[in-house]
Amino acid sequence: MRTRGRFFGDDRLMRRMLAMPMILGLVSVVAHAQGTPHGFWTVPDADPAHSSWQKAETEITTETVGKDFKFLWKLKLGSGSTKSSSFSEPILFPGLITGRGFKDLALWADANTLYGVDSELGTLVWQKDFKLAHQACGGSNIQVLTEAPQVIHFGGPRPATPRPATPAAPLAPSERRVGAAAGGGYFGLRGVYVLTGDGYLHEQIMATGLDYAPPVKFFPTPGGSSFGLNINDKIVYTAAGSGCKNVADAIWSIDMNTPDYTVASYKTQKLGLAGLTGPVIGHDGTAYITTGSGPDDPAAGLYANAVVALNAKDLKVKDWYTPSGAAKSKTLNATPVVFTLKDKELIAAPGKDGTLVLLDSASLGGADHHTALAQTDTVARPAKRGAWESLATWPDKAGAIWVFASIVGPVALDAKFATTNGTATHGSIVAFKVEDKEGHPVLTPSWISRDLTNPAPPAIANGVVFALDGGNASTHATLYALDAATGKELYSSGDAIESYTHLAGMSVGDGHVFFTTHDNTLYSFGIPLEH
Amino acid sequence: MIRRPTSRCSHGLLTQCFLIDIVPSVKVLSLVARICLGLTASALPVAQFQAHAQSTTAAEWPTGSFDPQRDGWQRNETRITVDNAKNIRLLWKLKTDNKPMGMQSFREPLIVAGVNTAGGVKTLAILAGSSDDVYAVDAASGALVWQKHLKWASDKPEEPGQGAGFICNNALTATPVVTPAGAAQRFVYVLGNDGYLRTLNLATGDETDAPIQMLPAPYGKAYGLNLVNNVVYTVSGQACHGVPNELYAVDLAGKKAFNSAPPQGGIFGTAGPAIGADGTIYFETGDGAYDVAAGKLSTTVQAYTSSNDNLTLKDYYTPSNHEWLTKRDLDMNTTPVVFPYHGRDLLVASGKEGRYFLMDSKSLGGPDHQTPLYRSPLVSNKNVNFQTEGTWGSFASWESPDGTRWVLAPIGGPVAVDFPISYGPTPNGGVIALKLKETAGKMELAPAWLSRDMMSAEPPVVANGVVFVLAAGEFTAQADDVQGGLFSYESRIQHSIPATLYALDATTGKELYSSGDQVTSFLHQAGIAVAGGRVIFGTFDGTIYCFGLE
Repeated sequence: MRTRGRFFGDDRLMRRMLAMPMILGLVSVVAHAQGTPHGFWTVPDADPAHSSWQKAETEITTETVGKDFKFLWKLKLGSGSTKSSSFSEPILFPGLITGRGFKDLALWADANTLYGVDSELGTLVWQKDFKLAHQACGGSNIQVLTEAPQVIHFGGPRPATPRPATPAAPLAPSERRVGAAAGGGYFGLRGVYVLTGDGYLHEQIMATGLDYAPPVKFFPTPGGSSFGLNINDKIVYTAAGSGCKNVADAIWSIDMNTPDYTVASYKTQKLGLAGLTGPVIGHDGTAYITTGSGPDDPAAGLYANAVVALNAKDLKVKDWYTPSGAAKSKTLNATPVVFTLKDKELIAAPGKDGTLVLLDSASLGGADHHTALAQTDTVARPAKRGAWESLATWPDKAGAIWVFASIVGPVALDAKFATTNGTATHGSIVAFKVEDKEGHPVLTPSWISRDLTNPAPPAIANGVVFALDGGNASTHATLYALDAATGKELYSSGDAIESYTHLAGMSVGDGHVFFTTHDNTLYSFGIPLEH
Repeated sequence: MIRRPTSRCSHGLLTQCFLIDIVPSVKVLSLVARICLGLTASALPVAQFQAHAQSTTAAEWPTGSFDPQRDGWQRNETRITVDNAKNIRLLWKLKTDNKPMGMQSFREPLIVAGVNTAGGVKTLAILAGSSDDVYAVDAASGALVWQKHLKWASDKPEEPGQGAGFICNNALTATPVVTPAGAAQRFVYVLGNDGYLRTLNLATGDETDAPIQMLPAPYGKAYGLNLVNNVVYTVSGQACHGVPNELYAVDLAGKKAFNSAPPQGGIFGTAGPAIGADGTIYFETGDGAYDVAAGKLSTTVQAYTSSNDNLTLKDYYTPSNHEWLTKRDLDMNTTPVVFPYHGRDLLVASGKEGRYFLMDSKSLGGPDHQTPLYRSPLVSNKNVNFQTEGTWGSFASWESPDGTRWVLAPIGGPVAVDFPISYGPTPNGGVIALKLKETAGKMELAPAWLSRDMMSAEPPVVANGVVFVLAAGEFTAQADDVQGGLFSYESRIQHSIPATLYALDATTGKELYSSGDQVTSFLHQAGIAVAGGRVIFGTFDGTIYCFGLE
């Protein structure tokens, strides 16, 4: 049971109201506020850089996860389907003020319905059914994300902002625009962006699930299978890559800053897209993707088994890295991850033949586009198409950067890891530490987890790696908590999960871990809080 | 006829009080007695009283919720009964020029008997208005006797207009207090918006002394003044204008202000602090930092002692789910009620969560400070809604002739448990009645009755077996799910509806009277005073109403 108090200021609502004039007058994020709710997970993989790291976690530690962490609740959402493919995890938005009280929300969608669940109580707050004329091909679920909340420094000076003599008349929902805030400062309507199978981008009011504004067309024709929504600077990105005939396989973006919602794309033609969590966004807005196997076409900016950097606004190729001989190479089926090391932005990505590479975002492959900063030995044989592999990063308290990868199948026999945790034949989480070797960063293999079947992307919080053994039609899923430094198992959910997961990820926030099983059951594990 | 002193008389300079009857309901210290005791009108310090419940038989309401224990129980009512409450009617109403600030207009009226005004001896209803105006009205006729505007005393500037938002609205928010009956001289004490405590002559409203700075800054949003042993106490609620949320006090004899430390979560029980028979001061704190070592006790019932101009934390009770309460903004935001039971004081506290806590004054929360005598299940607010559905304000408590101890509370929405007697669903709120039960040494507050539905029920009061309660009509929603942001106070005012006064049978909750559509404005945390067959309150539009029986 939690025992630490949580500071929300003298009066929670009062302090947020005092901050309102500053919010209305300023745009820049100032500092992390004392008293801000913890546990936001606003996009798949936690943030646009896909770290999968819950930065604000305080309740879960290597000590508490072993003794206090437990199954909290589960909630069936809709009927579920064996074909349900969420390609992501519940989005978490805590401390939302609504007309029915403060809510901590977990947002998740199946193919037709968006659900808003009270993440503390495990109760359904609202649901929004989309009456879709067209479903996404390939059975992908509705994709969901939100924008990160504005962070306020409560202790800072507040400019005196006079009340307007005549407040502007509020807009009717039909007059609003997707992506344009309703106003109201910190207490304004929060939106949830939703990409439905008919190719439209919606914005729902987070407090109620109701339509915020008329949806806008994103895909030119309906029926694409999208996965991996991401957002940066009011530009929403996604990948479509299931070979659906109506929508080209591509990275797509829609710019909500433009009057006409300009759509851009980077079509990959016959080239597959690796990974299932879509483009990763760097600090300057550059989008990074990994391509799969297929024919190169440099003239068209197409590179197989490559890491490709795309301009934020128009998705034109900006840079790329391909391993030498990459045309026939098999890489891990994962998207890259971006992190900062000593003020330098680096990228960890799948490399040739089941390796991992480190790239400099300023020049992905060097002058010849083939030279990585570092490359590991082969980690694993790349999985079959459809399997989900992923990368994650985490800075430990000493400042060292760790890179984690979920892999399907056994680790390569000659991969040398300092620590193993039993034989892992079906899959595992592997951990690397970014170290300095003669002035250059390298990925030093550290540990291999216990055996995991269809592992979900790992999620990290406060020194704990959460690994979800997805199970399969014969075995249920199992949630594990591992020591991020050693891979040692600290917790197992045992038989608490009744079914298996299907291409679903985990989110972590405020002492909880959330994921869905294939039958649309939302699970919450965590450190309990007395209600 | 000269009578012997009542049990409430002083222990200070006065060795005995001699009371004479002027009229059956009014007793004053005889002139002879004063001379014998060497007392003069101007030099007589305010009499010191032990903090007992009012035992005077005067038809008065001298402090918020009737007495320092905040039980809202008018013990001296004889005119209104359960049988004749149906005959209650509007006796008078007076439209004043009170200027509201935000949603705030008037606080709870005080009723003082035997005031020797220029127009004769009168019973006055005294109301403090939000813009630093104090009104004294003839309770019999509704005529304005005097009106005073408190002159700004702070060296910090007075702000024009209303404050920001509906919380820090720059309104006078502390119900004043009158010297307890029996004192040779009585005054009304008012805490102005400037943070200064005034002493006003009851008959004229003139200030009789220089104002005393009670709060460190203006617009601190203080709550109900309480006066015991010649010290005035208040609490400040919501850190408005940087005024720390603390217990504040003024020693009237030494004219010295002092306060508790460190600052706490919001303290906004509308009746201010409650004071027990032994002088212990009680209040509840809302959300905030919880660090016992640092003295920061959010979401906690706290007990303080006052001695030699020092306030010292004596005891506290913190619910075990206090983290949850803070997380969902379920402040403990009421003024506790204190009542005697088997030789010691018991307390009941609550807040937005919708649970009720029964505590022993000897040890509020037991050795671990988390174990009260009784912690109820969730009685209201199953929706976990911080805005409305729990209990706000304060309580009433009374003992019926059969010895049953009752506790009454307002609620802002539906209940979460069954009540043996109810009058339909309460989607908008109402009043609940709980009975104190003791079985084999275990105590509980058992649900007794649930009133009819009421729009924003205010704290009830009890008089002669009749519960009086105002359905304030206030629109209490804060978050606007349609347009975003918070509802402005202007919008909340627009959405509010006129208030309704109800009289209920105190043992069954049955409705005995409703004012119907006679009240034409809503009210916000305004409170009711009952005395001498009169029920008095003020509304947002500045109208003071008096219902009752002649």
